Amino acid sequence: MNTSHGPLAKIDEAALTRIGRMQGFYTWPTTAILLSYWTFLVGLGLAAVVSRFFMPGSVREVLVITLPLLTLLLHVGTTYLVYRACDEYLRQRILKCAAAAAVMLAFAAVADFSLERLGRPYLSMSVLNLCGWSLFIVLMLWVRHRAR
Amino acid sequence: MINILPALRAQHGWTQGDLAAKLAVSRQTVNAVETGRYEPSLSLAFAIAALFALPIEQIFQAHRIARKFTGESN
Repeated sequence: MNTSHGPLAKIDEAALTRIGRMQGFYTWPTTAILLSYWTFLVGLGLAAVVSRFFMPGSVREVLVITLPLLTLLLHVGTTYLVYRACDEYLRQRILKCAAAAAVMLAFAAVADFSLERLGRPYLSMSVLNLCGWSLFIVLMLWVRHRAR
Repeated sequence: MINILPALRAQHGWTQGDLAAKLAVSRQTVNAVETGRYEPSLSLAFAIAALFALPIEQIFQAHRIARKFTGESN
């Protein structure tokens, strides 16, 4: 970028690099992943609210089941689209992220089971699910961040 | 697997970003291939060969694999 003339002339090169990096990070894949993950969290939260405040019945059951599942489906679909949009090396790295997150989640699930047997309070599977997804999303965003 | 990609790139005066743009991959991919951290797929290897108008075996040399099949010690 030529900064010798015009309004950008006074902005130093380091600042331009920082701006470029920020712009590069908020591309459509990152935004799509973050938005779909946010939607999933909202769906999960709404399901919790519905289960607490709605009267027992078929509407409550349908909402509690469909809200998290549909938003999770949207999130998984978005993640897959982003994966498809990456090149072969990034795909390999994303798969490594998924494998790492799955292994950590498996250990966390076993640790949770063992702690529960030892008398620790029961931990909902949704918490483990959230931890696993969050970990995978963070790893995936890190890969994309490094790939700019 | 070793390759002469950095030398070829320098010969053309391209940055890793330039080469990545020409190959439609990320700059990180070019960097990983150049440093030997990643072995490209056949399609990417063919694209690189076509871009530099050289045979694949001239750009990528699989010394270790060749030794494995020929039984050479060096």
